[in-house]
Amino acid sequence: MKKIRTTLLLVLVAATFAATAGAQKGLPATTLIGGKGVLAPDGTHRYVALTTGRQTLVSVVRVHGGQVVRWLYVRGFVGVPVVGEDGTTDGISRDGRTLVLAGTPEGRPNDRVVTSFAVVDTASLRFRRVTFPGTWAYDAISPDGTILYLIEYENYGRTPTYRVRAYDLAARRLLSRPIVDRTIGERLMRGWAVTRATNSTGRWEYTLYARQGSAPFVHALDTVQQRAYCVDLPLELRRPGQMRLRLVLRAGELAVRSAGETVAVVDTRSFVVQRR
Amino acid sequence: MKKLLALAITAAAITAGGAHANGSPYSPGLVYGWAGVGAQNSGVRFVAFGMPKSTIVAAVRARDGHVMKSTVVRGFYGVPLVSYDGTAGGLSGDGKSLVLASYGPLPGEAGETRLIVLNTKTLSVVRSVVLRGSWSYDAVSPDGSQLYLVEHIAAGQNPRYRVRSFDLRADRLIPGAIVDRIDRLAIMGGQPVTRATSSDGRWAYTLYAREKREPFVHALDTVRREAFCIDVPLELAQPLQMELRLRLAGDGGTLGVRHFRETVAVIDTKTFGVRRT
Repeated sequence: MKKIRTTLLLVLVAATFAATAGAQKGLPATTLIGGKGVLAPDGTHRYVALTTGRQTLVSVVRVHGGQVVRWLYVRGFVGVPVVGEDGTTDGISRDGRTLVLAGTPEGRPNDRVVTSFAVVDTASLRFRRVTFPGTWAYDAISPDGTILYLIEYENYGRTPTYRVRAYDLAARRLLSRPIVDRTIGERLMRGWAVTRATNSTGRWEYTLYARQGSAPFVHALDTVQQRAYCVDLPLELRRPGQMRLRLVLRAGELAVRSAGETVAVVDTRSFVVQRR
Repeated sequence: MKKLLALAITAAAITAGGAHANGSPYSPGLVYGWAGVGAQNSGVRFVAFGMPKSTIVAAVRARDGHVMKSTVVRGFYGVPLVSYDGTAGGLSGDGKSLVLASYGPLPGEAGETRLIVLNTKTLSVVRSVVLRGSWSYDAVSPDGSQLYLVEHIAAGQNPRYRVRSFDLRADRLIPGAIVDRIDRLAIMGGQPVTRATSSDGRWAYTLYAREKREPFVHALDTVRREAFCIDVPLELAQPLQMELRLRLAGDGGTLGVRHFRETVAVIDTKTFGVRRT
């Protein structure tokens, strides 16, 4: 059994490029080992996680030259958060001071499952662990690194259902109320995160979600004010077509693109959608 | 003692994230993280990280810092340094083989030194070499078939050692030392200061500093298993010899010995004639 576990770990490690899927069947890919990691906001370094399975090495790699200038060790398995099926990674606050790495949910089906995150101070490379009961994934972090946004999964089968939650990193407490769209008040969200665009200040995170049997929508999260808006996109696309959509931010608007063509535009102030 | 040394080395490598982690009292040692080895021609650098029971080896793309591939190998290995100025070695001239080394025991003490050879494309271990005694990496032939090692006989202020070769295809240590073709010396002394390697990876020129003697360049032909020791006529104390650097010029035809920005001697790499400048 131990041998099998070791082999599995080595296979996991060998798959450097692969965004590692969650431990539960059906859970979207949540972390990246190796590869591009996540780029620091100033573009000079990237943070890349490498793992033996039992230990994770978080490396700080110089973008120009590829030298690994600093690194730290974290016990257990954590990776750079993947926030979209297109491989978009995140985890670094806009001020560059806080890096969040996500673990995969641990525990056997009948046991209590927990999910851990490592919150790293990028200056000192010291980290602390934050653990939640249940199946969670990273969603976003506020520009100053004080509020961590997480996805709490309720169901991760064919159509995942989840809530967006906020965790106050300074006060070390989970805010009791989920982050809901104030206009529709829907607490439980459904869909697959496809892609993401972030505004230049790091305050707004626009995530496009695909849905089975419904139109895609954009989840606009204000990471400073802890509020969110769900913007339905009037696109008649099946799920595979929705999975190919991409977002591009430009002055005051969010373009939804498919195969290089803009198919809809969202006004980022009014959230009014125009189909193209 | 050996265990204590190994533990200290491991601890140093694990805690010293971001620093060169040299734990060898008798050789330039090994490097973890940082620049690793490679990147000049291939655009890829290979970096090793010591973990508690294993080593992570990563291939990092130099132009954007992407980790293209990584692997975990059992044991504690690092990228070998070949001189005290931090020059790293281990990559064959054809770029296909990567040699990583472990720390061995102190010269004269019981124990073994381990080296592994990885395929740089797959990062799989293709050869494992275990030698009794105190050894360190010196060079590898351009095609990765011959490994050159330093067998340490004595450490301290006046280290003594000999260069040996290991046939990686036949998996055997070649009997006898690589003898200097000029002076017929088998046992060498001095501290490796810096190294220059010919563009094809065939010739490894290592400048050694010596106490109360002039420095010399050890020119190792990694294809023909031949070495030439060339005394460099410079009246410099050993600390100043440690500041010397080598630079190949004229398509590898001359080897400049430099002290900061000044060329102080030039060696003809065909005749090994030395000219002081």
